[in-house]
Amino acid sequence: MEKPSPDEIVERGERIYNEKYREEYERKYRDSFVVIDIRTEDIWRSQKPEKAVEAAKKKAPEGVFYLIRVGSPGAFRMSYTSDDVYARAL
Amino acid sequence: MYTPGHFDRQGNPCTQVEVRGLDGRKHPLDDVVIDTGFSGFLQMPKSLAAVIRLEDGPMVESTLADNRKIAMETAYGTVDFQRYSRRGVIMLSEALPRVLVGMDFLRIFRLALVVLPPSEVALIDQNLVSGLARIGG
Repeated sequence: MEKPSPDEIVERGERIYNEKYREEYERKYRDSFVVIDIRTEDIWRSQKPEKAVEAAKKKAPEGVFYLIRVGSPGAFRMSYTSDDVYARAL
Repeated sequence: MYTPGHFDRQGNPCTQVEVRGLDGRKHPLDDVVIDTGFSGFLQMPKSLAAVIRLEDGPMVESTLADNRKIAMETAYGTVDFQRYSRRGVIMLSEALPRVLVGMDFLRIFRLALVVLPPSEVALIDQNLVSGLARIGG
């Protein structure tokens, strides 16, 4: 099976999370990291991102994964802005 | 463990790490910026990750400092620091030319950042800091 594009992975990951998991996970597991396999819609959860990824890869070596931090707008926070001023200053 | 770092010409605190490729070969990276505003483990240019050859990681959306979101590809790889090896999510940047380590790097390697202006920077074992806090407290 051809691997989906990055944009497709994000779109499908968000859709699966919103439809199947968001309500329960944001009530029970706020600030946890979850990895969703967009092919099977399976999910793995941990307080640590590397543990969630490790568990997902172990169970589904061929998985196509999307990582979310529950209740947060992004999985990680960056110190630079979209106009890349910080990047150019470095 | 006490690992001296250095400041680059822009005044960023920097350290050195090694990143392992899929073939197990270690790639030393100098001038790695210690960015405490970055919550993740390590970020590197996508072009560098292609040279090192890293295992695919999950797609993520990250929040930038102006609260906009950006979709980013990642790798899942092994980083060596001093005598320790740890695996983590490596963000792949299209735009940023520098390699960064963030707060997850400090957590995973159990390090504290010590900055002594104007010229000294070091990464030390968190247990050492905890010990000092106990003595002081």
